[in-house]
Parts: sequence; C-alpha cells; structure tokens
Amino acid sequence: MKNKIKLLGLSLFVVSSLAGCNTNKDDGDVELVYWCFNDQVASFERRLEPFTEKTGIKVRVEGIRASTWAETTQEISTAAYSGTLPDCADMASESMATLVSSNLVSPIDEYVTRDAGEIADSVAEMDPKLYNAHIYNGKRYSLPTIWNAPIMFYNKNVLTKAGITSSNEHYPHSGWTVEDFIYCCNQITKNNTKTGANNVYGCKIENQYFYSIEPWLNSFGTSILNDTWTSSTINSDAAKNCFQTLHDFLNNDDYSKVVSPAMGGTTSYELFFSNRVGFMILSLPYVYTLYNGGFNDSKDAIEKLHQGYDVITFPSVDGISRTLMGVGATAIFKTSKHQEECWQLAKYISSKEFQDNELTETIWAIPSIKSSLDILSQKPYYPKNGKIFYEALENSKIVPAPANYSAIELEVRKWFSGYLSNTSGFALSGNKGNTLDTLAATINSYL
Amino acid sequence: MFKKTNARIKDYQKNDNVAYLFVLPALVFFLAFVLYPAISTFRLAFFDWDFLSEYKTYVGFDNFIRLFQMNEFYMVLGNTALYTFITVILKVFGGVLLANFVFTHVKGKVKSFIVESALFMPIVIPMSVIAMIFNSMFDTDYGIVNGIIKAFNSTPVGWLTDVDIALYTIMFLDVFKGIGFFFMISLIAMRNIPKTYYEAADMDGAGSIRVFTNITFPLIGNNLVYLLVTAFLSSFQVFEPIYLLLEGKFGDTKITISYMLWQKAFVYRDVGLASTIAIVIFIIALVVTLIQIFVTRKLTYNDEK
Repeated sequence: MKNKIKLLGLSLFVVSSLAGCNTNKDDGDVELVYWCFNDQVASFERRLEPFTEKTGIKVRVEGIRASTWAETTQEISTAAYSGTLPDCADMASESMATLVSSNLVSPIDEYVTRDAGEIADSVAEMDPKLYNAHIYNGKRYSLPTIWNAPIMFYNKNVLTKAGITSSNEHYPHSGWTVEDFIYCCNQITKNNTKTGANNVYGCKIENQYFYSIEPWLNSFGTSILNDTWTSSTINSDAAKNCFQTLHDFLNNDDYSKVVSPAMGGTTSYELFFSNRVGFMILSLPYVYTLYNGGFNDSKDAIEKLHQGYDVITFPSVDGISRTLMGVGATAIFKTSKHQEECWQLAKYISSKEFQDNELTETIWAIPSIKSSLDILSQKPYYPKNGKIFYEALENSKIVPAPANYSAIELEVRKWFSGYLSNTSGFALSGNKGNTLDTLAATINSYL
Repeated sequence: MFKKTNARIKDYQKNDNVAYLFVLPALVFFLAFVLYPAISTFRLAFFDWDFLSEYKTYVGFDNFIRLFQMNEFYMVLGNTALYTFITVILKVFGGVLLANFVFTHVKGKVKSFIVESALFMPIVIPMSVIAMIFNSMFDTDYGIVNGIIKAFNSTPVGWLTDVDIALYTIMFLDVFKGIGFFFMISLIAMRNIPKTYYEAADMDGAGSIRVFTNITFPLIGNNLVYLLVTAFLSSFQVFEPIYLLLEGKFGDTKITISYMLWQKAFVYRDVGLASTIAIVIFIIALVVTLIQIFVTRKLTYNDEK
C-alpha cells in the first residue's frame, strides 16, 4: 500500500511538473508570443527590439515550421485545437479569411477608431487596396505591414545571347504581350538540343497558386474566382485560352522550343542565376537575393548586376499589365490575454517608424508605407525598372483566398499539374474526367 | 526451505511494485499518445468537423458512405496496393537474396564489415535527406542519371516528372533506403542456422540454389513473417517520399492512402473523412497482417510443430 501511495505521489509530481510548463508569465511583465516563418525568427527578434525598448512589452518570437501560407494555416489549426495559439502572428491574405471564418482572430475596428490620430500619418501613406485588404463582413482585422506582387524578372544575358536586344520590338517593355513573351522564349530555346546538354529555357511554369496560376490567369483577363469570391470563373473561355497557351508552351512545340524545364526540380531562381532561363516570376525579396548572390562587394559588381537583369510587369493578351497582391499583417488571436499589447505591436509593425528603420536595409517584402519603399528604391542594387513594384498596385487585385483557401488552392494545383503533365483524365473540357467545369464545381462547393 | 521460498515470493511482490513504477512512463505515453488518439480517431469518424470549429456535428456513417463513393479513394487504394506489393517483394526478397550472397560469398571480418555497413547505411540516413539526393540525381534536366543517359545520346527520362514513371522512382527510393534492414535481419538469422546442416548438404553434394531453397530459406521462416509484416506496414503507410517528391504533381493521381489521409485532415480540414480513412487503413493493415502471418507460417518451417 505504501508503495502505491509513493507511486501516486510520484505521478502527481510528474503531472504538476508538466503543468509548470505554462508559458504565461505572472511576474507583472507582459511577454507576447509572436509567430512567424521559421527562417525569419532572427530577423523579427532584431526588428522588434526597439518596440520592447519603447513600450516595455517583451516579444518572444517563435518560428512556424511551414514554407507556405497553406501550411501556416495547418499549423495554426493544430495549435488552436491543442490550445497553444500564440498571442499574435505574422499572417497573410491567404490565411486571414480562414482564421476569421473560424473566429480565431480579433477585429481591430475599436482600436483603429480610438487611435485614429496616432496612425493617421501611416495610414495616409497606405494605398486603400492595402489598407482595406483584410476587411471581412464589414470588420477590419489588420493593418497592412508588407505586401508582394508577382512580377517578371528578365535575364539580359540570356536575351542578348538569343539575339534579343532592347531595340527588338519583342524585348520586355511596358505593355508587352504574351505574344512578345512567347517570341522571346522561342528565340531563347531555338538552339536547344534533344539531349538537353547546356539547354537554356524561356521560363519555368511553376505549379503555384500565387506565383504562377493566378497571375497567368490575370494576364488573360480572368481569375480563379469572381471579384466577390462567391463563384469560380476558372472554366471561363479566357481561362481555357490561358491554360491551353501554357500547355502548348510545355507540350506541343518541338523539344527545342519548350519554354519550361520539367515541373519540379531545379528552382526558377537557380536557373535564372545560372543564366539557364530567360524569365522568372517572383517578387521584390529576390532583388535582395540576387544582390547577395555575389554582387554585393563593389560598385562594379552592382553595375554587373544591373547589366544582367531587370524587372517588368506580367505580359498580357491585351497590353494591360495585371497582377495580384498578397498583403502581410499582424493577426491578433482572440485567445490572447493581451489584446491591447498585441494591438500596440501590430500598430508598431505597420508604422512609418518601423518600416523606415527596419524594412529599408534588407528586403523582407514591399513596405506598405509608400515613403519607406521610396527609401528602399534609392538603394544602388534596386532594379532600374523597380518602379513597377508599386505601379503594379494599380491593376492588381488581392489574391483570391476565401475561408477554404487551402482546399481550393490544392484543387487548383492538382488540376493544373495533371493537365500540364498530360495525366490521363485531365482536360480543358469534355463530358467526363477532370475538366475545368468539374474543377469549377469543386471549387464552388468550397465557397 | 519454505521460509526461504516465502521470502522470495515477498521479494518478487516488492519487485512487482517497482516494475509498475518502471512501466509507468511507457504506460502514460501509451495512454496519451496511442490509445487516446486511437479512440478519438474512431469517434471522430462519426462527426463532421473542420479542426477549428467549436462544435462537431454527429453524422453517423456519412463519412464512410462518402469515402466509399469517392473515385479518388479507389484510385489511391490502387496506387497504394501497387506500391506495397512491389516494394514489399523487392525489400524482403531482395534483402534475403543479398543476405544469402553475403553469407555465402563474403568471407573475412573486414570485408563483411564493409559490405554490411554499405548496405545498412541508407537506413540511418533520414528520408528527407535521401529524397533531396534523389531529387537532384533524378532531375530531368540536370540530374546525374539523365546526364549519363545523355552521354549516350539518348533522350532523357522524366524520372520524377513523367506520370507513368514517377511512382516507380519513388518505389526505387523506398527499396534503396529500406532494403538494408531486411538484409541485416536475414543475415543474422542465417548466421544462427547450425553449420551442421550446411556440412551435411555439402557432403551430399547439394548446389548453392538447393542449399538456399532447402535449408537457408525454410530455416529463416520465422524471421520472414516478421520481415513481411514490417515491410507491409511500412510500405502500406508510406508518406514521406510521396510528400517530398510527388506533392502537387500529376493532379495527385499518384498519391498513396496515408498522403490522402493527411490531405483530408490538414489541407481540406475534413477531420471526419480523414478519421474514416485512418480506420480503413487500420482494418486493411490488420487483415493483411493476419493473413501474412497465417500463410507464411504454413509455408515455412516452424520449431513448434
């Protein structure tokens, strides 16, 4: 009996020890737990030091083991289920609607009204599209921190080698078309051999929602969803035209004219950096990645960098450049006991003070404050045509990401990969199999 | 004498209590991380729930009906069956044949050590690392395998990009990584067979194939049951290489059932359907394992007969 009592005592000790692992601090100091992508933990720790100095609110930055926003939503879901949500997190348009529909994040309307005067200068510098990006059912859930828009990087070395110089009418220019793009790609790939040795390609067609499928659809004047996200337009004629064109890029021409290497494998950036591809579709952070790829040690190196590449808007079928944008924000979780402190943090990250000081040295993404981007654009490594990053806002719309974004994204990527890789049963239209009509019906079932 | 026995019984009783203490951590772990999740999974299969909502809706057998009406489920089950059949055969029988080769042909401690280490090495390398290596090696444009093919002026193969080939490349990866385990267990079993059998066979003039089929293979029969069950369970529940190398390709027509479960649970947040898939996996795995044990025991030598 004595032993059993000892055993019980030991069990209680173990349980009470585990209970001691609670993260809430009771010593009077507030410490917020802030989640961001794993590879950004060190950057955020550094960036948020001034906030702690200024407000006395400590911030513990923790990394999410995810590389996409869909994966982030998965992590958040797991944390919500197990009751281990942080106080707030770095979030994006792709996840916000999901979190809002699940009643996980707090609206900030009261705080915005209360502190209107304090945030007025910052808000005045935010494009309304950014400022209003995360309003759902009439409630505002965040202030924008950063944003991104997919644009085209073109490799001047590859184009020159293919005989396409700036005097050529098809050379990337404002208002260029899909036809111009295809011409360039064919010129780049015309000397390729069937065995693939030293082949150079036009552009890699990635199986991605944000950096490939939706911007291509936008180029053709359509989208995965309609403007109100209430119905899918992925089976529209314009969408069929878009997918047929991309399919032809990959499959119907001779091998020497193939625009893309295989789907998967070597990344666009790796191909671009090694002069194996003429175009890549990415966003502003890759300007800094290219600069750090061996061009950051001298003035001559930066000059060489500018001679090697520039950026241009997406080509389109009608000469109107369109793209989409994803907006970053600080999501405040309802479960947090420190709503006010979270708002202070969210306000700080979206402030001019933070963006001028913390987003203009290294590039995280495009600052939501216009003048902060202006500071960034003075950097010697900033691309010559870098003004298009902000100009892209004019004809861009927010990434279509309703509450069931993860499921819709997966369904779209499934169809896209099946169709482009000629997998049996995948087609644009028809009576059976995975057609765009069945895909649209599936997407509609998630709306 | 009786006093001594009583004292021993008391000692055993004391030891029993201590034993419970040692078992406690494992028991707590089992209850918290195996039994409770298993019971929860069974329960969740009867609910409609999206992981985030506060409330779960009881739907009876709707999730089972939904699953069995999905064409995708049968396609995925077919992929999994093909994957399991091929990899189990190659891993188990490949491992046994390799072990027999080393057992009969590789003599000397140093040589054995080198060969055994080389064959066992992939087991200790994480799947993610092997997947990355395979991704580079089998890249259509820049991989070393196609590099060799191109050197002979042949057309490159889409090892991971051709819909008809990709799943077989993944099977090759799985066999490459897993065969060392089956090789090692088989080799140990072979080394435990009394030498007298082989001496007798030698005196009778039996050839190497006859020795293998009549002595070695039947005498490692009990290990074969273990190997087949282990291989089946690992192959049937394969997830990592599919996730790492095939994720998002070919319209998900080449995924396996564990991957489908993960997708339904964490991407679609259809927890009820995912739990139903988990139950189906459990039932199939249980039935096939029992059949395997029964058949293999019938076909091989058993000490207890």
